[in-house]
Amino acid sequence: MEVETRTLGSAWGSAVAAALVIAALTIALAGGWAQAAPAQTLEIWVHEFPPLQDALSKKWIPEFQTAHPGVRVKVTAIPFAGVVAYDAKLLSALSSGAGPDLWDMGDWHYKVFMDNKFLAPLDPTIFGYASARDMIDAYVPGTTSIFERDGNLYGLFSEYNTLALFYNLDMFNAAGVAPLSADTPVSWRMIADMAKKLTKHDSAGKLTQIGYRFGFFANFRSPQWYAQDFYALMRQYGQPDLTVDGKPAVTTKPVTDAFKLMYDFTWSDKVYDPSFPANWFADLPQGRVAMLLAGTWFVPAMIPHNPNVHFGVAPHPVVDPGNRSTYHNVEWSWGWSINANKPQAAQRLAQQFLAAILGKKGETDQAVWWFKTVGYTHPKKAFYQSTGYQQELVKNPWLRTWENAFTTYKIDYVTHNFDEVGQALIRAIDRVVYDQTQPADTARLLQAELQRLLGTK
Amino acid sequence: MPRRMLRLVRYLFLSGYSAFSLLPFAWMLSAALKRPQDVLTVPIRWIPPVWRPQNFLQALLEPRFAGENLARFMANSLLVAVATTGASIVLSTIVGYGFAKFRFRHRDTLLWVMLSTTLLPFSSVIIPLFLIIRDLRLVDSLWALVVPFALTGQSIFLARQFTVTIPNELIDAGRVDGAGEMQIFIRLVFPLLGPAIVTVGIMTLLMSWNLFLWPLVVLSSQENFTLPLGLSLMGLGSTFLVDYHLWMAAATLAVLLPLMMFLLLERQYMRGLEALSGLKG
Amino acid sequence: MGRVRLAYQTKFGLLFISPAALYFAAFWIFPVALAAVTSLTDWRIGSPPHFVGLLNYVNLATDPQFHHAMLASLTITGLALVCIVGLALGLAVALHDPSLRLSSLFKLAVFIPVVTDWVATGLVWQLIFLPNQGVLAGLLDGLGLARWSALRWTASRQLAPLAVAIFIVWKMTGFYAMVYLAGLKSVPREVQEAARVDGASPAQTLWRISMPLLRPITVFVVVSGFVGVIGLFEPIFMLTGGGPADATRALPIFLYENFFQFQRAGYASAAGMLFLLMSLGFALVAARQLQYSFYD
Repeated sequence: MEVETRTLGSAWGSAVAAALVIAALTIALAGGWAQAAPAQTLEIWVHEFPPLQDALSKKWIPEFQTAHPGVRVKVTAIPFAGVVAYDAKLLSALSSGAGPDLWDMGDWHYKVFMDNKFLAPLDPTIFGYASARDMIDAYVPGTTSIFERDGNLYGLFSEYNTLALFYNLDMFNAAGVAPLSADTPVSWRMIADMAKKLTKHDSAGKLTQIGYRFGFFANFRSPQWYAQDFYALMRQYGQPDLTVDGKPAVTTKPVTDAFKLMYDFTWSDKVYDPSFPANWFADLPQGRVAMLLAGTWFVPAMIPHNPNVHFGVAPHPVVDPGNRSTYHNVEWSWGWSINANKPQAAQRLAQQFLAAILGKKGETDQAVWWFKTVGYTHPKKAFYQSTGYQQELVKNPWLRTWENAFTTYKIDYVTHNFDEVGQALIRAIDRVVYDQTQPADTARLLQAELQRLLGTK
Repeated sequence: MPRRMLRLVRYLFLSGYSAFSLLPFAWMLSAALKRPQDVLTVPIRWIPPVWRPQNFLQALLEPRFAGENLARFMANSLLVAVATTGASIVLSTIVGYGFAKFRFRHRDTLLWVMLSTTLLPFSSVIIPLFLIIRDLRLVDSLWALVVPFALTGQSIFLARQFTVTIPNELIDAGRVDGAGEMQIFIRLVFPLLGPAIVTVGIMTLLMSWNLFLWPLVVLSSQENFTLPLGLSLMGLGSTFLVDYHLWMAAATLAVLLPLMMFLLLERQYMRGLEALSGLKG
Repeated sequence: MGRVRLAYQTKFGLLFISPAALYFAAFWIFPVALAAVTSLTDWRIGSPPHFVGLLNYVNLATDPQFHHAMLASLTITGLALVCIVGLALGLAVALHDPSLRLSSLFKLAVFIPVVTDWVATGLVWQLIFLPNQGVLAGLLDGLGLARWSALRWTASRQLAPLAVAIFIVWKMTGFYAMVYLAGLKSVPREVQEAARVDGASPAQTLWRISMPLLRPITVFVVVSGFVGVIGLFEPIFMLTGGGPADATRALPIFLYENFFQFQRAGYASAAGMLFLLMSLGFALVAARQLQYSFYD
């Protein structure tokens, strides 16, 4: 390298260097200063779901900030699919004593989080109740069990849901397929046969519309949805969980039958394509997907951009409509929880915020608003009896189908989705739908993995 | 082998590879200017049938990330990159001077060891690094993005290589005049390190701007997200929204700064690269 | 120089390099020590840790997931490295000609992917590899190879590692091409002239004279390329997320998943230690090659 001692000249060189250093330090300092907090901040985390994010940032937070001057509420939405998970961030933040003041999370976390004492018990008095028991009784019996421990509630519903089949009526009509019954479920075989008529390709052989979509498609591969779709099938075929008596049992007929159904849909009937990327809330109304399973929030998410969609709602398909023991469906909840490791003032503010958005004893306006705008249900007895809900039932007759699910089906929570067992299940399903692995083979591999996982715990 | 054949093969090979290298960028730009329905047409239409330059504004300003927009992420990235670069320049030149102009036992071994850390995969140490940052309560702060990268084996080595060429007589003259060592550095040596400063600067700037894994691990509030992290919220597998045209517009904006900086300071960057490969130029 | 001089030099030399020593201790020595200690426990985030000795390492050795991770890592790295070294050398040879026209433009075109980031370019490559509708599919259609445009590049277990490798090659080859080019340029003119005078053709000059001199660079490129590629998280994250199934669930993804998703701090730290030791071995070899080339 040649000696370049005079390239910049001594004065010029020092000036530039000094300027850079000063600029860097100033900007860094300014940046740090700008991040200083105002009077009182309430930090909220939610999973990425635009209707929920909008609900908070456009209605509830402005209202709360007006009612509580000097308080600033900050909401952060974190993506919950993909290799990086909302769940991981939550656990990581909370276990180091940091994290948000208030957040929503899936039912599958409550046991671990309660074990680790991350959650503060909800204060019944702030919600207008005399006691925790009083609060629990305000909800449909059994629904709050997931949030309960030693008599207290450690979370409260952001959403409580089960699955129903949504389908595009226009696509059905165009293909000459009769609309589905809103009361009686049909078999999966019938769904596959209908879906065949609803799957179309263009002249070059490229897929333009598919008949059926499972919830784990190309650009939204969520463990929650893999598990939900699979567990319902497995239970319908007769096995409640991946383990029996604590031991992995996935080479059984029920589980391999569930894999076989997914295999058939993808490779034999060719009515499902996991690589067909698109927009979950736009595909059905815009004619790219004919049928899918979703919760009540599907409708308010779909309508705003597609007000002219003609859709129908049918009960969750079952293995054998003539056999009631195959009538299984899944339930899930998302709950709001409060950080037990934050100062009392912050916790109190969080409780007040929660009471404001979910409603105190006897209040149903909030629950009705959540239902109408976002499609979230809170199984509060008063809510179901309210005029607001009754009016919704009249406006949206399809809600009856969804309501009936709770009495027609045996509904249970999924036990494994985001943990290692859930990941192993995802891999097993991926092998089937992406790689065309035979059901028996993927079950065998899953069995070996589960034996390892559950043996080394 | 006929000369002309050789020449043809040479040009074909270079043109072919250059096309391969630039094609993704060309397509990215073209897609960024299209309407959503025109992005993935078959056959590919390189010229947009309908031009949509407003995609860039939309990608930049639309608050689609929980109230934050890409502009905010760019500002964060810029802040972090500038701070890291400033700190790196100061620290690397000081350390490089120590390695270049002083003799002490195990000096070369130490330098060699520090340089080898450059070659270690960062992903193998993120776990303990994260635990440390977490216990220091620096998680989710932009400082956590600056501090670990303010000094690297690479920048030290570069600074050292440049500093070696400064004549010892200059330093000795300073000592004879009775100046303190730090004074000598600041007054005599540093002003001559122009090339070192620019090279270390540009390399650190680009490295910091392009960081992804560390910010992914450390940041959770979207208001602190840097640009690559913000970009990763788009794309297949991470979201149920499919706005290809906006993804491409955002990607174009993201590669703009590195491209511009590189074109401006190409010579200095390449000089750094040559120094790093351990060759005397 | 007398002993006084040396002591003076030592004192100030160490003073000046003290920031580096601090950094090194804080960001390499201490983390590695922490990882080593953590790897000997069964710590899961949210539960108290217990000392379990080498249990994690034993489990890793028998864990099919870890084997898959090693396989995926070696497959992707092997594929990528072969192409990178070959292409980089070829490009350097092609560019190393003073009479080449547009050489600076070619150099720029070749190098540009290197300065951009993995995420932005990853978004583009996601769409390039999209089956049926993507850029590659479109190009293949245009060439009349429509059958190939349905290939599931990132969704097939066989092709996913190849897709990731292609992305990596595209992004990194330019860097190593410039390294090789610098090496070729450093072959002293006199030697080349002497060879020409002796009647050697350009090909012979290249093979007999330049290549042997390039051996240290080749070793550097192969070794640092190996460590650089095997440690990459971003391209896999952007293109496949580790899937489908385990096809691309390479070591960095394995580490990341086990720590951040499954919260198995002890187990992940053990895997990280193994990864680190493996890379350290390679890194030392590469650094020694560098040492041969620089001297005061």
